[in-house]
Amino acid sequence: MDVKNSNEIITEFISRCNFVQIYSDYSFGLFGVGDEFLGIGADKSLDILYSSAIAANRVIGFFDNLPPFTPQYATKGGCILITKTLPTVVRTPVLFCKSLDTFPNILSTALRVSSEIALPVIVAVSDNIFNNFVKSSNNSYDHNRIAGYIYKQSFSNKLTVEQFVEKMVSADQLLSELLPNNHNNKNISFIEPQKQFISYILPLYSDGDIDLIEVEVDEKEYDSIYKVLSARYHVKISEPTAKKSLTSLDIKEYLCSGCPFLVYFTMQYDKSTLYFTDINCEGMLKKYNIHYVPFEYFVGINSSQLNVRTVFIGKASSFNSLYFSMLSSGSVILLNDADYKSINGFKKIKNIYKSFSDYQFVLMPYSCNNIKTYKSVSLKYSKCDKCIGVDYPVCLTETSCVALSYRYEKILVNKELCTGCKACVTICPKAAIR
Amino acid sequence: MNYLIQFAGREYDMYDTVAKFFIYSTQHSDYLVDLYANAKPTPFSSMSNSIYLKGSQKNAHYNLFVDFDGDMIISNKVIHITPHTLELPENIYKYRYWAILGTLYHIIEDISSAYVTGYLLENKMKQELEVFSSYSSHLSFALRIAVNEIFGRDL
Repeated sequence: MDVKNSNEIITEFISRCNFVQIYSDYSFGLFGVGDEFLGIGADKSLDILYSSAIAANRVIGFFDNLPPFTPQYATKGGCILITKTLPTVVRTPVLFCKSLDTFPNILSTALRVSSEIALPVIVAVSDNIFNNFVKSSNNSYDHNRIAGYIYKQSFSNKLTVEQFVEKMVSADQLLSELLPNNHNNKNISFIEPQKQFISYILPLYSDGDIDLIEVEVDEKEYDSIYKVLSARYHVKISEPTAKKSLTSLDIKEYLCSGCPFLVYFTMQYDKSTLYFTDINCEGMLKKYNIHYVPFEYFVGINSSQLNVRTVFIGKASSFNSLYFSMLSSGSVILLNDADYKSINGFKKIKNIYKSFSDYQFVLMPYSCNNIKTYKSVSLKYSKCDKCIGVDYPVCLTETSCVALSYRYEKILVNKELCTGCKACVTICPKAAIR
Repeated sequence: MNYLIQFAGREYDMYDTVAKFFIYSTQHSDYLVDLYANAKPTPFSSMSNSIYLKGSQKNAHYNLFVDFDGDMIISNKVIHITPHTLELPENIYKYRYWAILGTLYHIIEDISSAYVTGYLLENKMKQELEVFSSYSSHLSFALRIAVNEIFGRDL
């Protein structure tokens, strides 16, 4: 059958182009998180990819949100950084892709540009790229395989502004030929699938021809589009409109089975407490009233005694013990994303479903990328029936757990998906789940 | 006639298989096919795609909501194809993806189900073929009323 899904298109590109290092954020669900990147955050992984590319390796990274990034040295092997959100700082060529059928071509172009100008190339992709289907075609890929090498000069000669501008001129020559920008369309959008967007943007470089783009955007992309386009063009942006996209759909959201946030909030949630996290999970942030900030922000907020209780739930890998002396208040729950045996000052919890409210600093047994499995829960149907009679089952609505479903007037537990986190046990008003 | 078909499902392997069959069939018919995808907020969120079938010059289209696992939140009067609206018996629930695919072939005119039946026959998937054939030749009572009313057709 000549129809392929996004996963097949991307894995084909990766295998044909001989990438040495591949990083993908957990949420991509494409390749999982490679063992070598387990517990390493996006910013540190980006540094590893970039330095690997300086040593002439071909690298590719998939990021939910690419950290700000300034290339200082020339890369040799080709470096592609794919991001789901528009980069707000443009310091290296950025290509945009909104359609899966053009994606292989854009990836090949990004690789070619990156190899020729010796700089990383960012590819910003819209929601339409992942989880989609396309009629397959025979794409030609660059099969070159380069052995890693490094010179003494590789890290001693930083790029000068002149060299950088020269590279941007070369990039513009290449890109204007391969992916020409269409400036005639004034009504552009990055997230609306039926509208067009520009093909690429370059920093520090202006051909002087185009100086005004009028853009009609919706509320969601107002900020990011302005930041991206204003780096290169004079932009006139119309008032944001909150029009509903033709293809948008309301679907029940599910959290991962054993989601550490779900377990924590079912046991410990307190309305008056302010919660913070450095884990960027769209589904979890939507469900719980929790602020997404780096841990350093939490340290700053808690540098004096506060009027409210604050809790930070974040990655153990981003914690530094030096922060302890700076914290005057606040609780910290670290999710063990890198299988640490212990962290000084933290109470290590073995079973996630046991109460730990007495401790200010807690190390949970796992994080989103390494959810542990306990004994699966079971249901006592005689008790459960009473709950259904009152309202829609609370274990489903409150937990949004993917392992629970409601069919033919019965709650069903998917034993393959259930991790035994017991969030539903805590919530069930009839004690029907155990 | 133009159709905007919204797919959603949580069994990724089955979803991938039936979506590919449907897209393949429409691409080999007289429709122009546009494919769109929606983001998955968590790794376990439902897959969701929109398939726009353009069969006429008119700007209007009919909406079809194809909901393999009953996860869509729909309030309007629309054609909502789910195991529930198909009145699928419990014993064939596990073949719901094939039942719903069969229903789609029944509702949308001018697309051929030959490739699907060929695949099921070739792989000796007897139960799946039986369910698919059964649902591609008749509609449940509720769905037939909805289709007849919204499409103005007698199915």
